[in-house]
Amino acid sequence: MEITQKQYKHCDLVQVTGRVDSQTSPQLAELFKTIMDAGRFKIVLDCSGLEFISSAGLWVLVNAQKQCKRYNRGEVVLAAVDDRIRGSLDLVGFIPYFRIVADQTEAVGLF
Amino acid sequence: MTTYPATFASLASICSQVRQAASVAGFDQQSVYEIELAVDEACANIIEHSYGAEGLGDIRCDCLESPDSFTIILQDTGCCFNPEDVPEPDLVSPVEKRHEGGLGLFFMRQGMDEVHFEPCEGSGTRLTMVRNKKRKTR
Repeated sequence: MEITQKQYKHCDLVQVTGRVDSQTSPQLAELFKTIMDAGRFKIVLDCSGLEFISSAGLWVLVNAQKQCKRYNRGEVVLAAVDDRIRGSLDLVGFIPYFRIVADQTEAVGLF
Repeated sequence: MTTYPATFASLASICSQVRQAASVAGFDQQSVYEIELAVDEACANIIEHSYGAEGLGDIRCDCLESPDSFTIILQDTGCCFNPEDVPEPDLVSPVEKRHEGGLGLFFMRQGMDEVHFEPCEGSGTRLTMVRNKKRKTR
């Protein structure tokens, strides 16, 4: 897994590539925490390079979303989600909890 | 049969072995992904629940293909795992009210047509997961 982060005026863009599993998901959780600890709660997660995400990774997304949505201060928006990953989100009923958009440009434009 | 240390760092290698074998067995990309997810979740459960922590044993992984099905056998030497002890996941409560965890076995059962656990001689568990090549639509 590789993660890159870019801070925009109105949101933070996180790009994740490769596998998010029990080995790598703590690193993604740590990055979300760093962003939120800095008082920024509008986050775009670009999933275009995401090849695989296990339940451990899905919970990282849910936990970040819980924090961001608290007090209506922001949210995590998912961009460019592959059908297979969307399938996993759908199976466990996580789809309604996230806005999912076509690409990072559209996602960044939401904020 | 390939043996891996029971660590989270092994997940990518175990999944790679299974992905390759499932592709050779003729599954499409979506099915390969579902099989990979089942195996990743199964191995993470072995590490967390059978062994209770990382680095306390091995995971042996074997993939078998028949004309009708694809079978994965995962074997550990940890504690016996009883799937009946695992509560059904909560898939209906609002997401923010759900408790973390509990989706591993669910993804295993969704991705595979048969999932069974049996105690090994001595110690540990043998997990056999079968995916039929022609699958009824769920």
